[in-house]
Amino acid sequence: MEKDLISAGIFLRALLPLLEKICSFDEEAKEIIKGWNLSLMLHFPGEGTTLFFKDGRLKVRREKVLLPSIALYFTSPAKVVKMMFGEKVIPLPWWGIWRISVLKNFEPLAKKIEKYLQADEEFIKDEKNLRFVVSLYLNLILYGVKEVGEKEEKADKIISNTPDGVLQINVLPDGPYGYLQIREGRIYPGEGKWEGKVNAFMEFASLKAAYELFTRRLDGSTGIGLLKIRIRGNIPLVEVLDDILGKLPKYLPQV
Amino acid sequence: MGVYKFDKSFELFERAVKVIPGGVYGHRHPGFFVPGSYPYYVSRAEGCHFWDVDGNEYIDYMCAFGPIVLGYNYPPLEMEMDKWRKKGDAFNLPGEIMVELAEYLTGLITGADWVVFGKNGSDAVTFALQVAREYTERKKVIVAKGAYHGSHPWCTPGQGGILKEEKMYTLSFKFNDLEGLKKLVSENKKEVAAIVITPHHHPVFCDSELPSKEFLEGIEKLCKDEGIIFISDDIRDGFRLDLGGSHEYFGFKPQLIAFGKAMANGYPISACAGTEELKEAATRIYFTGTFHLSTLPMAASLTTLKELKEKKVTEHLFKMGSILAKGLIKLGEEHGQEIKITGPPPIPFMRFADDKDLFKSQLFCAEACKRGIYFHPHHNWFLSFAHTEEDIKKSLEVADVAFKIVEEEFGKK
Repeated sequence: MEKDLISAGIFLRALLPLLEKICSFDEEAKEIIKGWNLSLMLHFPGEGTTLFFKDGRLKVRREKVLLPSIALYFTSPAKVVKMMFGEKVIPLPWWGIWRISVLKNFEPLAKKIEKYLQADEEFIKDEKNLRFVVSLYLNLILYGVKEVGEKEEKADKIISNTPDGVLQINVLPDGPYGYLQIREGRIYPGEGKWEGKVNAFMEFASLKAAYELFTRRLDGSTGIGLLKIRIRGNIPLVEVLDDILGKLPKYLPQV
Repeated sequence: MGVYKFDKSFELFERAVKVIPGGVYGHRHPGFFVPGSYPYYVSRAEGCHFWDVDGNEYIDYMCAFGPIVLGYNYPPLEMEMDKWRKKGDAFNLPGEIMVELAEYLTGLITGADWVVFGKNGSDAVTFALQVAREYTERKKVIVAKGAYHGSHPWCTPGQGGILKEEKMYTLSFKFNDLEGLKKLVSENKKEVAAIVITPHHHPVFCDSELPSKEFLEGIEKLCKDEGIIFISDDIRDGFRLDLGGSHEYFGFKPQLIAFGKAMANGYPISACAGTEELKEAATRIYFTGTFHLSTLPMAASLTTLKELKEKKVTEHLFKMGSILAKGLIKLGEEHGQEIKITGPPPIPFMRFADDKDLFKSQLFCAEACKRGIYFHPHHNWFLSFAHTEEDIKKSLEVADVAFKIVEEEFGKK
């Protein structure tokens, strides 16, 4: 139950939102959403995410909204997980059924997430592509860590015992950047650089180093020793991230 | 002043990660230091100096994380050990030395009527907890938040491979907070087997804290009133503050005391000492290990303890620790930095007063290490009998350079 809830949360709030970046990077994706002016909400009891398509662009809000154009309702987190792991599940389009034709094009769009998270070596030889893939992974990790850290009982105990602070994650020399703020036992992720006081830094020596860690070709301990990853400042904050990051793969489909 | 390189350490690490998970594990992993500015592997050591695999020499303020109290390769001890090595080490049965060491320890440690031997601090503290549980027939144990009591499942700070059930009987309170402790005990009435504290609180990444008199007296009374066993985890402090045990130094009376680290100057042995009332319960604990009864560490311990007594080593440690602390504080002031040193002089922890996240400490220690002074940015340091005023003078010369770099990077406070 806990596992399904976390996996479903990751799907809605960490994986699905990657489409926002994909729709501004991928030409086919841009073509698919051309002319879409609607909002699509995917949700299960208690949680949801809404995708706003407008003028060839996509904006994602990690929450439910009132009166979306289409609302896809999964009766339980387990249903979301089944779909996420490739089993056929038909969600209930309890709102906006008259616009359901859009959905047949949504599947190829969603497939793009898999394409980029499983990018082949040839594709990432181009630095622009590698940067894009790393930015997707960083985003997935920032929001995935929030889901695991706040919902898993064992992880929640770690987070609730962690003093407030900000961990800045930088891929050197030119990004992408992201941060995790821990405040009163909750995790607040964000992209870019935190503007206030940072308590700890986790810095990757290169895009390749970040890619290796994010795709589990490199473990954190080895990366630190090989100087591919540099940590400084409040090390317990980094350790918290590392502990939770280690739990993330068990909640994800093997992308 | 030249700056060290660590090429061979890095080469060795690259080989290591192929055959050893993480290359180095536990608290010796590079991530616990400042990777890139510290060596990963050591070659040899002598006195208070060691040499890494690149041939760089250091004045050492970690003493193998505590065990080295007389100095590395301390000649009187090693000469004695040469004789013992000829006799052998691991046998079917314990040697006479086990009884001699137990007799010596019970004579030395205040309040100890018996003693058993393990290999690591974690063995000894966990044994103590088992005795407390056996005696009280209760499950729960109370420890101070952030305190390290070893790597057994009930107390490890790690998460990997540990079931939540294994930690569910371990409760925690804030060190020195007697009221908080009393509340915890009253919420778990007749369920608490033991309260475990380190004589002074020495968590990693933050200041050390000395116990208040009221706190210690309060625990004693609480344990007596509630039928709880009072355990002193003296692994890190033991024999550096007082040869009678650190409870003698701070003035409290635990019923079980765990020792390790300094008791044999680097030979692998730990011990749990206890009072007469708990002796029978102790006999019911199945305490053993492949090397628990090997004789060489016991011989090393006896020789070390006698040497500590004869040479008045604790006095030396206090003196050297105080000189070092005063020197660092003064140098810090000269560079516009307020230095905070906590913990007793033989086991100090240093940080910059305005830098709780330890950015400055990391830079300071990294720059010192690259110039041959081995401080630790996150863990308390250790002094040994081998440290001389000359060593400390040299260390402060390097610290001066490191402070200057901190000042350039962060400015004055």
